[in-house]
Amino acid sequence: MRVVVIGAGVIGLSTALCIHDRYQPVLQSLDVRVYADRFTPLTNTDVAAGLWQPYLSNPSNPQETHWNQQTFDYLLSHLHSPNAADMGLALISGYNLFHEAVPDPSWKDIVLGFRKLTPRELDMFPDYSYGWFNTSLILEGKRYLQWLTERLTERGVKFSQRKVESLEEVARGGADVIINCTGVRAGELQPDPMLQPGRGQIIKVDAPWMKHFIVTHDPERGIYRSPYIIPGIREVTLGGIFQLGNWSEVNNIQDHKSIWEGCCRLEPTLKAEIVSECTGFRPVRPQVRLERERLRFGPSNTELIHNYGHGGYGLTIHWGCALEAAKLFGEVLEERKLLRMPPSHL
Amino acid sequence: MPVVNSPMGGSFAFPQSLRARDQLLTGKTSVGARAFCGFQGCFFRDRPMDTVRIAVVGAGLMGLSTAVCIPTLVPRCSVTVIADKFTPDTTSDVAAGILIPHAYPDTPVHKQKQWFRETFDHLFSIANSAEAGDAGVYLVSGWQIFRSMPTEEVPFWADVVLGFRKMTEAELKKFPQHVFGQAFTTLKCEGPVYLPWLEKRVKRSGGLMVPQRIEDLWELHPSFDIVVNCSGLGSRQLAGDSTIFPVRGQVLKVQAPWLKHFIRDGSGLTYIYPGTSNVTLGGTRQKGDWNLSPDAEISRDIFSRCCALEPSLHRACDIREKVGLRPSRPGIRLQKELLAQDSRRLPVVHHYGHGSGGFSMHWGTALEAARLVNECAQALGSPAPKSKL
Repeated sequence: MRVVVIGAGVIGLSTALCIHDRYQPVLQSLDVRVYADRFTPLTNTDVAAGLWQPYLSNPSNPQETHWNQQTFDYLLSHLHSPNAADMGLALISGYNLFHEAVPDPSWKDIVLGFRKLTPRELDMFPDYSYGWFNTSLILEGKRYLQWLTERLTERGVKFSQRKVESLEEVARGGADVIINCTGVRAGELQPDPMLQPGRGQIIKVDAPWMKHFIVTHDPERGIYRSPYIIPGIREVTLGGIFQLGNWSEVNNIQDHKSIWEGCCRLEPTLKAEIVSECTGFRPVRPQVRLERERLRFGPSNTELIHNYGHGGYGLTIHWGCALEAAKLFGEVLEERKLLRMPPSHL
Repeated sequence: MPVVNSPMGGSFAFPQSLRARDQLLTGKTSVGARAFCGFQGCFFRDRPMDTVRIAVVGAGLMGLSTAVCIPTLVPRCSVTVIADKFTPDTTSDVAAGILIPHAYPDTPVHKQKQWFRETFDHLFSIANSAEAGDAGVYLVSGWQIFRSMPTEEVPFWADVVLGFRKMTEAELKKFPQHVFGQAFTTLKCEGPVYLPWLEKRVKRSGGLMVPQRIEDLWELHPSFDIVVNCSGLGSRQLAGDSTIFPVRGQVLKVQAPWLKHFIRDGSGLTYIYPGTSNVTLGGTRQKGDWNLSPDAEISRDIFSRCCALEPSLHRACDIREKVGLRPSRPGIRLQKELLAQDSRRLPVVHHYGHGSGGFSMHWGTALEAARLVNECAQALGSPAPKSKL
């Protein structure tokens, strides 16, 4: 049973790990491979700041709320192990700021210690009049991808750097099941008018005294278009850019100014050294595409499981989606009568 | 100490190894420029109708912050900070500098709360300004956790820190050995960055730093008009105070940049304080122990206790041991004293004995010390002799 995962961002690697760990014990012939043209540190996951935080509004697909929760719980359980830092995982507290009172988010009971900001706290942010304080998680994309790569390598999963031109090519190459984790460029393999790039640009600075995230919101401008400051393990990510339909991979000087001015206004202590600047593309879609499809190339069927379109919340939702993809994979195995016994639940 | 005859007549005890820490003659006082290097300046002036010459003994947190406050309250003064140790070699450099007050049995609670509030508010405005990085002051959130219910669930300082509340059940799950906890946001003030920043401020307002060990406060007479005693444990000798004693604290400074929260066990014995360039792991509270050398067994114990609270610390690296002796006293001594010997008089303001609570109280007590110095200065200025200050 050959499984090819296309894509080596957080979705591809976590899905590969989840499927391998759940089914390898019961299916000796399971052979999982990862094909991708870009690996860490060149994926979009590497650009993400890594803060666990869903969008403020409820997702159109209620399953996504469940997947977010599963991811948070999974990560929280790893916090207590010495491996947490190796995974790029840490607890972090911080501020969400608004220009006016807003309803509490659906995830207020998922994060820890959610509360409203006190007047003295709001005094620190003169442009804002309302806000939340809560404890959440950081999952640094680059470190997490390295960790996932190590775990997969230990398990004998093979990686192959190649540009996949078509699903047919992978099917004819011998894949029984293809997991499509191609993110923002999924449209190159199968047109998807609902998928668009949400271009983001970020600046990383060295500001180790910053211990809190600060995310601002401006409903008129939309999500990710308002300044945010998110400390990672070593560097602090400054952002606030979201441009739908923009495929430019080049750092833009206007965007740089906008991020820098917005963040310095928000946090006057930010007289910090710029370490790097980069651009990434959020795979924006009205909802995540997580479903099966059957392909027919010639005489054989190839099962396809799509897992892409996670917008700006890929790290936030990844494990729940990996579990769901693994469940769909299990259905394939059952249909093909390949399972000797029920898979243990992860 | 060698006695020399100065060219101006009279003699004085010339301290050995005298050198100005800052070789520049700042000469910036309100009474014009003057050649002043160390104690020699006394020979170029008459009695203090013009400049009040103030010596601050001690260059730790108390000495430096008092030296910053004095010129703001005392008109026409000169400030000289004299100490055997300067940053980074003071006790204040070892402390993590987290603002969580320590309770003093002999100091009224309303006073402690006032000093803590003054310190917090002062540092809070620095933390929100462009100076924050240079001053080493910033906000940090975290948890204080208890293995058994504390007698006081809400301490006196709860409304001074930010966002104080009880921890939720979900938050307590992270600490299975603990039954109760408090979550809040407070400030961290890093000695090795804050002290040099204070030194700069002292110099900018015309103060001098003089590295010199003082064995007896009378050495400062008659070169100085008022002495401020911020010598911490040195007061056992300099002020004959037997109520001050060391509480030895050993800590580890480690690299663990993923830690963003402080964790403090309510007993005060185990704590994890993330800083700008390292994380402080503590600690010990060994009363009466003067030993400044780190103990390897204690280091292992500290590390193990902290890993029990925060398992990710097993990945910490570059572990360094440090020891500081907390200048502990039942209450902070903030008091004027007029030393008298034969016909000599020397007004002293004592400002020491903060134990574990130095950083938490320093600005409030420095302001009060400066007020006391001003009272002494006013008394000096009046022509009638004073029998007692």
